Amino acid sequence: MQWSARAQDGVTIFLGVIIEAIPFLLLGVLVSQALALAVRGERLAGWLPRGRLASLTALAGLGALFPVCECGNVPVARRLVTRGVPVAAAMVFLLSAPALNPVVALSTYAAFREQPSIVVYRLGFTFAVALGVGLLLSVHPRPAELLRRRVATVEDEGHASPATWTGRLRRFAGGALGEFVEMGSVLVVGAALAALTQTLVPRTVLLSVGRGPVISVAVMMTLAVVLSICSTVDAFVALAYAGTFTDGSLVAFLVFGPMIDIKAVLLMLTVFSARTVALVTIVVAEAVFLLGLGLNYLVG
Amino acid sequence: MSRAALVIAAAYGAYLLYAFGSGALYFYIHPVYVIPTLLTGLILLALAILAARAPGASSPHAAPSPPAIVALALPLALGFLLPPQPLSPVAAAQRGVETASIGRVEAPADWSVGRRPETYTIKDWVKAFQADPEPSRHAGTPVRVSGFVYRDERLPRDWFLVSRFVVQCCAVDAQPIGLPVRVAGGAPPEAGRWVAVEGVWEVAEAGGQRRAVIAPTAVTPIARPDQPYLY
Repeated sequence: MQWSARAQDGVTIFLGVIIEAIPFLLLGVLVSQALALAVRGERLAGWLPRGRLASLTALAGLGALFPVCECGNVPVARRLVTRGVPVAAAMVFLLSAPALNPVVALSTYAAFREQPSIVVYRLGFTFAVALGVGLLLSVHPRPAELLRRRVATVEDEGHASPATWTGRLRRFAGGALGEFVEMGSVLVVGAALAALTQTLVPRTVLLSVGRGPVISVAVMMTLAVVLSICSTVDAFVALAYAGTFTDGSLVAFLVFGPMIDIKAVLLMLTVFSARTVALVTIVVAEAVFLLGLGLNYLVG
Repeated sequence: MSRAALVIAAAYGAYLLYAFGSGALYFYIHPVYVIPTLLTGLILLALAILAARAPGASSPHAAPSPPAIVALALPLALGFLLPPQPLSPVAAAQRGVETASIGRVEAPADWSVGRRPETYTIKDWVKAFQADPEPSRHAGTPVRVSGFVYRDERLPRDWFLVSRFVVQCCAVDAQPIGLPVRVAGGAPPEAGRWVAVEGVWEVAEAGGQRRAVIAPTAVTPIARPDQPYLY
């Protein structure tokens, strides 16, 4: 009974994550395909400001226009890369877009009306960390090596687009579904891992550890990775720990979760090389950890 | 556009419509996402029909690999073949049922204006105790709630929690909450059963602590509601 109920709960969580994510995934690939139709060749890269800092900042701002979850952002980032946007800038977009957008700002504010500073810290830290990682990657001498080897060749945009509207629409549909299926298979693996850890590791085990200013940050960051919750709603979950956990750990949860979780990392691996993803994961984890500690010791 | 990718995308569209039609969506996600999910199902099917009529080999996407097809087929098989179930009391035990104040349940000052206590849900009661934690000030107030039976080891033997999951987004963030019930002298109903509890609040000692507990006048077994979660 125990184990069959546990298995059934695992299935419910698994399907819950997938069903919840699919609309955002579809929205992401539709935006991605629309971008493919609307923007030709290297033009998008040409629109970006020339300076390194300015172009990275612009990409962080672009994230604000796409209020979608991390699973929806990867196809957009991939499209940006194949359209000639610098690799570092695409990573800035990927890291900042899930949390730095109006919907997330609103839901975080709704959750933390009593503590609006949490919203400010979340947006500010997300921007700073994403920009920092972007600057770090932009000094790489051969940016193409940061990408997964296949990603640069998989997109063949050379052939002329169909002349008729229906032809274009059909091609749009084919492209969107192809991308949907490709990203979807990764989402399934991420959802399975999230469901397995949630059914097999008791939440109380994670929680009993975390009260101190240091350990609480580590625990909440771990929780963010394990839970893999969509950035538009994770603030409500964080609120469940608002009474018991330090502010620094809550902010760390809200900044780290949208950037790095099981689902996001698996999706990132479809665009960037394993080495890049590992490097970014470590740098982001360290930066968020230090920012969380800073909040706990200097402010809280 | 490969055939396999087309069939998978269409199957996902069909699954979302099936989950909507069968009411199973309420076991998985917050109602606010139900219509977007329905639209997503329809859009997926429409795209699949459009793409099926697209001139062959126009898509740059390679056919999905066999492992990817297996991965994508798994949720479809589980979703179509298994009877959909909401989260069980086992998941509640895993997550720890909150009985007192739960942080994410907000209690604005005027939340209860014009409402009779008999209409409060379990979540409303949690808010009420958050707004005023003193047990004696709730004593004598009538309660009528429904939820599943949860047995908490830390409570006395003749106590149980009448519980529900509170869902913000989807099953992954479901947080169980519960109200203590004391069946004085009797045995609590079987764990996991759905019950309607009627009674009044009273003050009692449990674990050396003064607590509010429901003294039931009736504990009636009921069928699981179509929307088992609170939001």
